Amino acid sequence: MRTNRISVAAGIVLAASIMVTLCAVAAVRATPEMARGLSAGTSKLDRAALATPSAELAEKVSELARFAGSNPAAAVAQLRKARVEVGKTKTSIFAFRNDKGRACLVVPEWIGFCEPNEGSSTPGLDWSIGGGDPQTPSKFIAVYSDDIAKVTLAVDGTDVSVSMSNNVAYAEFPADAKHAAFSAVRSDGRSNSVEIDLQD
Amino acid sequence: MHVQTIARKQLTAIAVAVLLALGVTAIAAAWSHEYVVNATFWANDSGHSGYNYNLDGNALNFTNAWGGSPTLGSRYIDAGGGGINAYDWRGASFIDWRTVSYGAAQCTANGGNGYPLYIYQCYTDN
Repeated sequence: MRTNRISVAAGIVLAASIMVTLCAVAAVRATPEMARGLSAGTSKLDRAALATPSAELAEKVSELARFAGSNPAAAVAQLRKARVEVGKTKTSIFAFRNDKGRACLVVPEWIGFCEPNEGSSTPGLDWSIGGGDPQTPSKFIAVYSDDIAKVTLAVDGTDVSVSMSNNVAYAEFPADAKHAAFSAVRSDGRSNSVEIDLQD
Repeated sequence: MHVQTIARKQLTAIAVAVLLALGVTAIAAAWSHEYVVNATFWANDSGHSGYNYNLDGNALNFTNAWGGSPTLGSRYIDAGGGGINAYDWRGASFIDWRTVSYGAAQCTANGGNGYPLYIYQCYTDN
């Protein structure tokens, strides 16, 4: 009887040891999920200089705000200059937050977009790409979150320089490009990549 | 007096004609077309607006209702039916402010999409 008790106790101890070991291994192997969208924050957007928009720019900002279900007057009042005359096309990029606090970008005579309410489907990056013509290069324009250290872009296999400032990444590349691959690299080295066939 | 009355009538007629012409022009210029509403697009599916002058906005709104990361492209089609380069984008509210002097606006699901997407609206105006 005593031998049986010792055997049962030993079995329990052994099983518990195995479970603890397995849990420890699983904990070491588990990689924490990347934060969805821009949930790590875009704090530098709020530190960019306030803009004094022209009537035409204010109309574009209002149009995007209305389309995103936000207050146009509030969007115009808090508009900031996120990037000033970047790239060969001297592109300026303006930013505001919609009523839900999501980052919205306005690029005059080009595009405007807001991060989806449920968050961008690309962790750390809310992006747009393409749009060039024989006279104008295509553009990569993205909002990146505070935990992104580097954004890389390769077009048709060739690396393209991406400038980053105030949580806005920007690059230009030939309009006839067929394929793009870009990555958001976090400060801890983790990254996620997107590949896309550019439509012609 | 009679001559003055005739001149006044002529001036009034001209003014009315000018005002009518301006009104008709304004109505022609203020054109818009919501050309896709509440639709599911698989890869390469597309819709386009009617043709008109001076298009300067193509507004798109969609969601990845079935998961994945599908993208939607905005482009304009010129008078010859040729495409002007698409602008690909992922998520919520997007407006393409590029312009075309005469053509149609289009929204197209990227050919590489592994999932369908749900479009709330594709809309253009001038």
